[in-house]
Amino acid sequence: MNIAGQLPYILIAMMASLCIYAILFKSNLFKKMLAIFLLTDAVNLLYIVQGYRSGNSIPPIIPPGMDPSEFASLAVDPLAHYFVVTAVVIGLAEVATLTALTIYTYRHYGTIETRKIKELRG
Amino acid sequence: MSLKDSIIGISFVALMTAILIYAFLGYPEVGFVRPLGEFYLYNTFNFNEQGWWSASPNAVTGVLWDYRGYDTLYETMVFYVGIVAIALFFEKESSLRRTSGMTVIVRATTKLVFVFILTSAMAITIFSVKTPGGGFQGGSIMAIAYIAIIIALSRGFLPELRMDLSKAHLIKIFGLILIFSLTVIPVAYSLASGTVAYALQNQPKPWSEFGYPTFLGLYSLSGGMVIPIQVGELVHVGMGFTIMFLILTEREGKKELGGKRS
Amino acid sequence: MNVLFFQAPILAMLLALMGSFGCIIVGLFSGRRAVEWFTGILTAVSLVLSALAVVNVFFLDEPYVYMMGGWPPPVGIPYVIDRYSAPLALVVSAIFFATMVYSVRYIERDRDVKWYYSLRFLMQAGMYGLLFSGDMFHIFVMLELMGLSAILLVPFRKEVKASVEAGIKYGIYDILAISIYYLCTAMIFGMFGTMTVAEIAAKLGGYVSPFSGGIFANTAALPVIIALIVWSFTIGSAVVPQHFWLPDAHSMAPSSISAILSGLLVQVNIAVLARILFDGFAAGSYPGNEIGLHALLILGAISSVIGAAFMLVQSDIKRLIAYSTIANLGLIAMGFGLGTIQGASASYLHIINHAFVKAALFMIAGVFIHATGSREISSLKGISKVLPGTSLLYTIGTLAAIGFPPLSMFWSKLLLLFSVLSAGGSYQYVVVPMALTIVLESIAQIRLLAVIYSGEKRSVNCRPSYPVIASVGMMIGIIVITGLMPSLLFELGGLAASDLLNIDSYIDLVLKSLNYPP
Repeated sequence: MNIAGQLPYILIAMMASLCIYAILFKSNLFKKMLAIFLLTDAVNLLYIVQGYRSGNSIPPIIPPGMDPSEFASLAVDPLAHYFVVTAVVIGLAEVATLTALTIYTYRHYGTIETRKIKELRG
Repeated sequence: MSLKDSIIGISFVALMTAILIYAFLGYPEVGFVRPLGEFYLYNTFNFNEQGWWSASPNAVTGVLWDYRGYDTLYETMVFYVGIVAIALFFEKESSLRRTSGMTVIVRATTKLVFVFILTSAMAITIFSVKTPGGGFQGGSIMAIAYIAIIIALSRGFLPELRMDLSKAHLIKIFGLILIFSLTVIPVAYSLASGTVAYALQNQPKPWSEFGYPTFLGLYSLSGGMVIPIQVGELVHVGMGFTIMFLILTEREGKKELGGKRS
Repeated sequence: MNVLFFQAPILAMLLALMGSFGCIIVGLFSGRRAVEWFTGILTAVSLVLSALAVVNVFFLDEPYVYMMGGWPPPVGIPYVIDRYSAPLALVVSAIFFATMVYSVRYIERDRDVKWYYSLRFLMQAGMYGLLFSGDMFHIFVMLELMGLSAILLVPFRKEVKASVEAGIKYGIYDILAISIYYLCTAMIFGMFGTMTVAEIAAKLGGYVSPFSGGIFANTAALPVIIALIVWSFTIGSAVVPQHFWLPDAHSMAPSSISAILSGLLVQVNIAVLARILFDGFAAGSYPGNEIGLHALLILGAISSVIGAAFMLVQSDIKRLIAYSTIANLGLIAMGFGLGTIQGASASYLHIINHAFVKAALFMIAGVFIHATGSREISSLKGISKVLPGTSLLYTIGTLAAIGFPPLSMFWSKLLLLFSVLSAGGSYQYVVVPMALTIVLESIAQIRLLAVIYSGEKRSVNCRPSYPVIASVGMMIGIIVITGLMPSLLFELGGLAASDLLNIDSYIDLVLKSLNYPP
C-alpha cells in the first residue's frame, strides 16, 4: 500500500470525526456551526481528492482544437467539481440559516451556550 | 471541561476515525478519474456525437446546467431559502434614507467602479462556458459591487443607484423567473406538441427532439440555454447577497430606542 | 402514452417551485388575501396533478422513469415514478392542501405570511423530489431544501423564546444528519463512481455499466457507509436515540407546520431510507448489507417503546402527539427492518395512515390551543361541551391513532403485527415491544380523551372558523373512508412493497429506461 496515495483519506477521516465530535459534544452554538461547515469542507476535500488526476492533468475545459478523447484522458473529473460547487452554495444557505437562528437565540437568552438554554425539556 | 468529558471526547474521535479509516482502506489510490467523469469530458463538446453533448466547452458548466441541471435548479432554491432566512428574521419595515454630503467626485468614481465590477461579473457569467466561472461566481462578484458601496460609503448611497430592498427582491425574482421559464419551456412544448420532452432539456437528442438553439450568435457563445440560465442565476445570487447585507447592516436597536423616547 | 399524465408529477413539483417565488411577487404588489388565493390555487392544482400521476401509474400505464434534462440514468438524474413513490406524493399534496386551507385562518394574526407560504412551497417541492429521486446526490440537495425550510418554519413565531430554541436545536441536528449523508455520497462516489441508486444495486450484483464502469473500492467498506446512512436518516426521522429534537420542534412550531412536520417530514425521511436500503444497497440479497435493516429493527423497537412510555407523562397536548409520532415511527422502522414483503407493505400503509391521522390531530390540537389559550392538557377540561363538533373530530382521530377497528390505522397496525409474527425465527419476539407500544399509546390517548369529555361547561376565546373545520374534516373523512376499504389498502400496500422490494425490476426500470447505444 502506498501511503502517499492514501494519506488524503486518512486526513479527511480525522477531520470528519473531529467535526462530528464537536457538533455533538461542544455546547457553544458557534463552535457547533463552525464544525458543521468544516465537516462539509472535509467532504468537499474528499470529492476533490477523488476527482484528481495525477500527472500532467489539465482543468476540465476543452482547449480549442483538442481531440475529445485526448481531452478525456488528460483532464480532471468535472463531476467531482460539480458536486463541490453545489455543496458550497448549499453550505452558504446553511450559514445564513444557522446564523440567523443563533443571533435570535442570543437576543432571547443572552447566551449561546446550549447548556444554559433550558426552556424546553428535550 | 472535566476529565470525563475529555475521555468521552477522545474515545469518540478515536473510534470514529478508526471506523472511517477502515472504510477508506479499500479505496483506490488518489489520482485517476472515474469513467463517468471521462464520459462527461469526452462528450461535453464533441461535435461528432451531438446527441450526447451539452455544447459547453467547460465540462463543469456542462454538468452544472445540462447533465445535472435539475440538481442545480434546486441548489439555487436552497440558496433562496438562505435569503429567506435573513429576510424572515431581520427584515424591518423601514425605507432607505438617502445620504447627502458626498461630493461629485466621490459619486462619479463610485459609479465608475460600480460599472466595472458589474461588467466583470457579467463577463464571468457569460464566458463560463469557455473559462472557469458561472452564475454563482458572477453573482458573488456582482454583490461585491453593492456590498462595497454599503461598507465604504453607506447604505444611503444605494438609492443613488436606484436600488432599495423591495427593488432588490423584485430583480432577484426576475432572475428566478428566467431560470424557471427556461426549465418549463420544454415541458410546455411537450404538452403542446404531444411528443416527449424533459424539464431542463437543453440540446436535441435522438430520443427527444426538443432543443434550444446551440449558438447564441457567436461561435464562442455556445451551450444553448446554459448562458441565459446562468444570467438568471447571476441576478438571483447577486441580488440575494445584496439583500442579505442590506438587511444585516441595518443599525439595530435604533428603532427600539426611538420607541422608548416616544 | 398521454403526455399530460407523463409530465404530471414533475409539473406538480415545478408548480410548487413557482409558488415559492410567485407568492413573494404577489405579496409585494397586493395584500395577503391575494397571496392566500395564489397559494391555494397552486396547491390545489398540484393535488390534482399528483392524483393524475397516481391514476397513470396504477391504471393507465406502467411505472416509468422521468429522465431529467433528457439524460438517461447514470448521466443525468432519474425520477422514478412507480407505485411506491406516486401514492406518497399524493399524500404529500393532500396534506399540504389541507394545511393550506387551515393556515388561512390559523396564522391570520402573524405578519410575513408571504415568507411562510414561500417556505411551505419549497418544503413541498423538496418532499416530491425526495420521494421520486433515484439519485443519491439529488437526495442530498432535496434533504437540504426540505430541511432548511422546515428549520425556518419551526421558529416562524420568532418572538416566542422557546420556539427559537426548538428551531436552533432542530437546525443543528438536522444539518448534522444531512452533512453525514453528504459524507456518505462522497464515499459512494468513490466506491461506485456513480450516484444512481439503481446502478449501485446493479454493480453489487456484478454489472459493469457502459458509462460508469464497475466498482472501484473494496466493498468491505459498505457496512460503514450503510451504518452512516442509517445514522443520518434516523436523526432525520427521530428514531431513538436521536429523537430529542422532535418533541420540541413539533410542539413549538405553529400547528399548521406541526401537522406537516409530524405527518410528512419524518416519514418522508424513513421512506427514502427504505428506498436507499432496499433498492440501492439491495438489502438482504447482498451479504453484509443486513446491518442497515437490523439497526432499523432494533432502534425501531427501542424507539416505539420509549416514545409510547413518554406519552404517559406529558402534560402538554402537542408534546403528547409528538411523542406518539416517535412511537409510530418506531413501528414503521420495525416493519421495514423485517425485510419481508409483508413488513414493507405494512410499514408503507402505516406511513400513509399515520400521515393523515397525525396531521388531523395536530390541526385539531391547534384549534384547542387557540380556544383555551393554553397548551396544558388539564386546561382542556369541559371543552367537549363548548366545541362538540371539534371534539367529535378529535375523538375519531384519536380512535384512529390507537387503532380502533374500522378506522384506517387499525388495518396497518394489524398488518404490522401479522408481518412480525409471520417473519419467523427470532423476529417474532419483536411482537412484544410492538404490542407494548400499542397498549401504552392507547392508554395515553384515552386518558387525553377522558380529560376532554370531563368537567363542566367552560368559556373559550374563539371558535374554529369554517375553513379550519373543513380542512380537519377532509383529513378525518379520508381516515374514515380508507378505513372502510381495507382490501383496497392491502392491495395498495402489496403493490408498493413489491415495487420497493423487487430489486431486479427496479434496476431494469431505471437502467433500461432508454435503449441507448452501448
